[in-house]
Amino acid sequence: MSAAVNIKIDNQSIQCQSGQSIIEVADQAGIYIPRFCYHPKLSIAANCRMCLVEVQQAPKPLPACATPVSEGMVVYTRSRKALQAQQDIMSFLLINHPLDCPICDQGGECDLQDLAMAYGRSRGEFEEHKRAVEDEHLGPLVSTEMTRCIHCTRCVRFGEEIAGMPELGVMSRGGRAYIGTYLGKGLHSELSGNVIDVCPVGALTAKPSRFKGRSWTFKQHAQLARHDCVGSHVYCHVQSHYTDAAHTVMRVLPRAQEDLNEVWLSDRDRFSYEALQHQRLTQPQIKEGGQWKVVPWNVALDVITDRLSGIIQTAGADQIAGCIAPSATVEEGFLFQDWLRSLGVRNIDCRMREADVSHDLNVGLGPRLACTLPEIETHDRILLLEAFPRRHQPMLNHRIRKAAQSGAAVLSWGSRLQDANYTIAFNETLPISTWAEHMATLVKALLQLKDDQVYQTLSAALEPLEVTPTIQTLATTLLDHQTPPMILIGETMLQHPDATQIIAWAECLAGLLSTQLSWVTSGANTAGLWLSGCVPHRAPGAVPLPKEDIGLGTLESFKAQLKAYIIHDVMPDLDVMGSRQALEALNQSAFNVYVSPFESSAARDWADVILPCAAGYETSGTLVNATGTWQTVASALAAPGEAKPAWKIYAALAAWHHTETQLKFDEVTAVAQAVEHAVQSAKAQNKHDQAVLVPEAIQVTPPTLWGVAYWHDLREDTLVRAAPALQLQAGEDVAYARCNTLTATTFALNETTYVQVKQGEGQARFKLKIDESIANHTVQIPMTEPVSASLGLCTGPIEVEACA
Amino acid sequence: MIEHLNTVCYRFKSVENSWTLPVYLEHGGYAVWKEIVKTAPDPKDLIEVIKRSGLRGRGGAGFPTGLKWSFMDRNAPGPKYLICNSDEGEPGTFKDRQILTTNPHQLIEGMLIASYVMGLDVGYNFLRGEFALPFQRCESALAEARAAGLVGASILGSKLNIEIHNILGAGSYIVGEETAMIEALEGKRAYPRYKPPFPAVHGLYGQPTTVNNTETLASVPMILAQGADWFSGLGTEKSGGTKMFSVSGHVNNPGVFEIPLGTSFESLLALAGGLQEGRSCLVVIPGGTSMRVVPGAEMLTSEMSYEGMEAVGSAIGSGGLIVMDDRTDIAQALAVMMEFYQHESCGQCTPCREGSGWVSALTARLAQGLGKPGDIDRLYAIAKQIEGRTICAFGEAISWPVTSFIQHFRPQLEVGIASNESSENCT
Amino acid sequence: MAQLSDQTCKIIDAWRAKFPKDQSRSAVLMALRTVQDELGHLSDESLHAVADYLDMPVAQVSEVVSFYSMYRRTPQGKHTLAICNSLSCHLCQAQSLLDHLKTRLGIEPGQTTADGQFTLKVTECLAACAGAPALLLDDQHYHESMTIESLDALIDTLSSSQGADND
Repeated sequence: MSAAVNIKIDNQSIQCQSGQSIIEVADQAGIYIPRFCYHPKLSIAANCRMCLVEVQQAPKPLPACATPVSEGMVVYTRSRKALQAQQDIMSFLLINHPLDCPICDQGGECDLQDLAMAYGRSRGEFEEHKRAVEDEHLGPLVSTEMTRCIHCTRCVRFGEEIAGMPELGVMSRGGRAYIGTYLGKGLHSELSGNVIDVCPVGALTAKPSRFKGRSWTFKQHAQLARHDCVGSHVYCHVQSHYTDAAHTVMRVLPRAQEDLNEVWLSDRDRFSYEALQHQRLTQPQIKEGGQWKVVPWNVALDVITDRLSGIIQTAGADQIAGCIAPSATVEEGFLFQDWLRSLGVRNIDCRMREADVSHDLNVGLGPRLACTLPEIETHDRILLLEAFPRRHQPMLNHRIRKAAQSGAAVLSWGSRLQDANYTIAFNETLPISTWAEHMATLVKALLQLKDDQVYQTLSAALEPLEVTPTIQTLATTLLDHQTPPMILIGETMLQHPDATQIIAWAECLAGLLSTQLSWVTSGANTAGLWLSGCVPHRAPGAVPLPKEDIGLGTLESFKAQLKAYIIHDVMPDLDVMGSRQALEALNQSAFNVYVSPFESSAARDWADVILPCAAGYETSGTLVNATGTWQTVASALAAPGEAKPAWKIYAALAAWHHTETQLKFDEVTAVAQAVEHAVQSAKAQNKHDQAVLVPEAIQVTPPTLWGVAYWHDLREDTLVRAAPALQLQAGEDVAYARCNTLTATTFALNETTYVQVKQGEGQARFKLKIDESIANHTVQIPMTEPVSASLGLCTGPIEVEACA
Repeated sequence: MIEHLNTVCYRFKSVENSWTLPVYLEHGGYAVWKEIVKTAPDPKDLIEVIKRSGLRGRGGAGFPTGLKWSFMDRNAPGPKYLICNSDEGEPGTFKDRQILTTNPHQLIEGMLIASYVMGLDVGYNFLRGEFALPFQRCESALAEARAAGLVGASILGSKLNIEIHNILGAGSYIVGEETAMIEALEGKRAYPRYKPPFPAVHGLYGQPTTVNNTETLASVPMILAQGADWFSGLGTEKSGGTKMFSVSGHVNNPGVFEIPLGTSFESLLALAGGLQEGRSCLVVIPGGTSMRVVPGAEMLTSEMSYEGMEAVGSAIGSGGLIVMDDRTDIAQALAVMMEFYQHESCGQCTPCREGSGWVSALTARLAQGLGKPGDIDRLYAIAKQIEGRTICAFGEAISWPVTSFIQHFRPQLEVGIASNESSENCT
Repeated sequence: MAQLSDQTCKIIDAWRAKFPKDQSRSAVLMALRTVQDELGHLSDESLHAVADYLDMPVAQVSEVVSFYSMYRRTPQGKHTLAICNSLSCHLCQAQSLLDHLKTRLGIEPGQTTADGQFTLKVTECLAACAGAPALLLDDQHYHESMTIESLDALIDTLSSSQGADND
């Protein structure tokens, strides 16, 4: 505990802690001291000198950011001496700063403008030549006019300290110094857009929104990011004044939430808003005689109701399946399944990429993280099993990075090496076909080191396994902990056809380490959709259904080649494990409905009805994140054209089917309440049991060549795919299949020819990149390339050969 | 004649092969170090000797050395470092170069003693990048010392382990600022650090570190050999000992002269061969260009000591005297100095980064006769705006020459103001 | 990408050994000088090679390269002539030496003669003020108390030497 210290700032007595700086204490007391380089989340630089204040008995003014408080210190922030110093510094900042305000996006929200007005002189004396800096091309996301730079170095410190990837540096010396990437290769960190926020002037600005509007004409709406299971908080800025751009999301900024995204935002969350203006569906349509026809809503809803009723009558409700995107809101999900279940449909699922779902039968409320994001930082051992959060859950990765910086050992094991932005203690690959065996071997290694009554019963099953030195190292490191380790299971593990067995062994692992498994889930709301009843084995409230009432999951529904599919905001050719099976099912079925904000030419092939719905920030709704936190927001703007919020669409479909004149819910807020109520009542009745999976004996088989399905973070949902700047940032790398040199040599593959991948009955041709981070006996297959639609279970056995 | 000329660090000025071990040993070298290793005296006692000797930092700041050494906590965990600042970049200063070239062993011995006193593990002797020959001499001396068991592990069979390394810079003046030198040793841009924390608490790699000038460290063996009283007695009450003064500019015999502090400037000037026939002393910069200038007349009655230079409104600094006689174009001299500062500013903090360029542009115009009315007042104001606002003393290094030149030589600078009022706006 | 020669790697390793094992970044200043000594200047590829060898981000290597004056990013002449133009040398007519070189070599400071022999530079105080005006040859050799005559003689000597060494 630091000692209490008493100081005075501007004649106000303040009690503070020793070790604090003057500026921290002043900020807490609501006394503003001007500053540029100081940022509460970054290290102290003390180079701008704007925060110079007068301290009694100090001969010179002192920088408030770098001066620790001491007992009895007397500080004046507005004395003659302080103001003089502040004015002097401001005049220096302005001598080389270009008079760009009229053409600078930062105008109106610029620290330099604000502080010049408040702390500067009204007359400049500089009459020499101003220096200028040539602009670099930083990429499609961040724009730069470095002549405006005031060298606060926040962007440089951000790269080193937060992004863990120094991309911007200070070059040259003295007045010639400038900030750049030197090699002009652009910014590549998944957090690069944050430099736009930290830059106090218009040197670094957002490129997609450049010149599009003035911030004082925007209206700010609190919203949630829609891509990952963290649920970062954002602000949407919506153009409100000028009619030609009215009601457009102009840009998205982070909204501070210390427990989730702190003050940061991933690039994906920051720039996907552009999609709201692109590739939108705006009219309900039906296919008649092979031609698409725009129809009014009631006609479309009639068609759906009639056709489904027909199928139910002739073939039964089990011939219908509903697939809903894992980023749909709680309200959308609840009403989706409420409508379908009221028809008798049981095949409802939000899990698009799982090949083996039997383990899910036993998971309490649904897959979650076992701790909060801040708690991640307190672990001293973090085990990542097939988890690659850096690009897929960047804010979660940020916490892991902070843990590593505090000395935690991060240990990664998976089908590729972790591309970590922190020091990683253990980074190993394993052929993906051998996961069950490896997980069991790790359990064996632990049992050899630690006596355990409960798990010793597994010894017989573990007998044929050999503990390698690598696994030994992993086990020893894991056991050497001060607090129970965090074990994070990644999405790729859930895609594995043997997922249940692997997880059974993983649960033993957790038991031996006295900890629980943590899960990252797809999309923004898998946790919420479990609670809404959008999985085939759970009713709303995540109430387990009796065995006879359990429906088919996504993959099984497609394999079963049913008569009707209702697809919500998913593109089965790109977003599904088993896209070949999906497309075959959709092509042979009698009736399909595609509900989405976004156009899809592939969907036009198999759909019979297309319903346009609201996207992302246009939706009021609730998302439940991976820590189980419910977060509700109001929409920031209306959907374009005839598109409607999806919750209303499904409420209407229910009303249509039951010929009711009123929607069951006319306020979206009531929907979430209904789900919450269901959860609470289920909890009260102890319905959320968690059964233990029992692992089976392991057959040791040599590894075989498998593919591993890979969804690139900038291509993995409909929203991000429609965002142009992010697609430019993704570049060409997304299209490659990847394998390491050993695999390539074994199968005579190379980068100059294509690789033909055969999986089950499908085959597809990809360009190849040799990538040493991929495990042996493994080929990474890019799932969001259109050609991959002809492949089925891409995480599984494949054959490859070079082809032209 | 000056008594005690070149008797401490520069005592081998005329001795052949003085940089080799045999010659150094012949002249009593390493006797102090060997004694220390053998008898393991209480470091606190040794600090007292240094304190009593009155030795002050010879690089420019003049901080009492014994006091600086006492800031180090012997018991702080982890490695602790000594850095010898052999960067010598202050214009007009060239005395450390002589030590590195003619007396590297005495420097090594001084570093060893300092490391012993403060409980340090590794000493880095950081030479500026241009010092190719001095570096070679230091490396060769270090190799000799190592081979003789005086440096490294188990020194002379004792339990003492002290490593020393010679390091080369890559061209930068500001790297001579002690915390900037720490940054350079860490492999970074030579940016001075804000203080606190001070190097004694948080220095190289975050560990306790002491940075001393070459001459300061090289003085230590002689002080311990001859005694604190001997050394302090050579100088004045407030300025103990001797100092190496570098004298250059308009003198007949420029060079380094190690003289007792308190010697008159007049005597020093005489040592340096005086001015050219028929010339008078216009202005002197007594301590490297970063100090305030002193009009010749005042300088001629002054005494070379810390208090003596304060008395004429300047400071001893690095002891680099530049003598300018009456033919000097003051505006040009100032412009040349300001160009140096503009080139060498590290660019980290606002007033220096922006101000050094502004001052350089302004003084250049004055030197070319393109000054505008009000330029001199403007120049003075800019200098005062920089002073006291910067992370390191570079701000004062820009400001003091400007303000003191204006204070004493305003008319000469006003010659640079163009007679026609030009409203040309260069922006 | 440029590979560092074995010789250069050995020298860099020797520098690295002067610093704690986990601080290889400390060796970057000398690593860059070593590569520059071998190849004459530092190309983009050299910076990458040094960054790789010392396991540093290339951004931090390029920050260092652009800060210190002795690094050369473009090919230089066979000899670099750096005239000091700080105060003491200025007072001793360094400008006239510089002017003479500009005329004789036909280039401005920062430029290289067409025959690739000489690069002219202006440098800051070399700590050679007793020998003002001073010149630094090839970043290593001090030539002091220069006059126009001794300068001409130096140029003549350097021009006529049968330098078969091509670095």
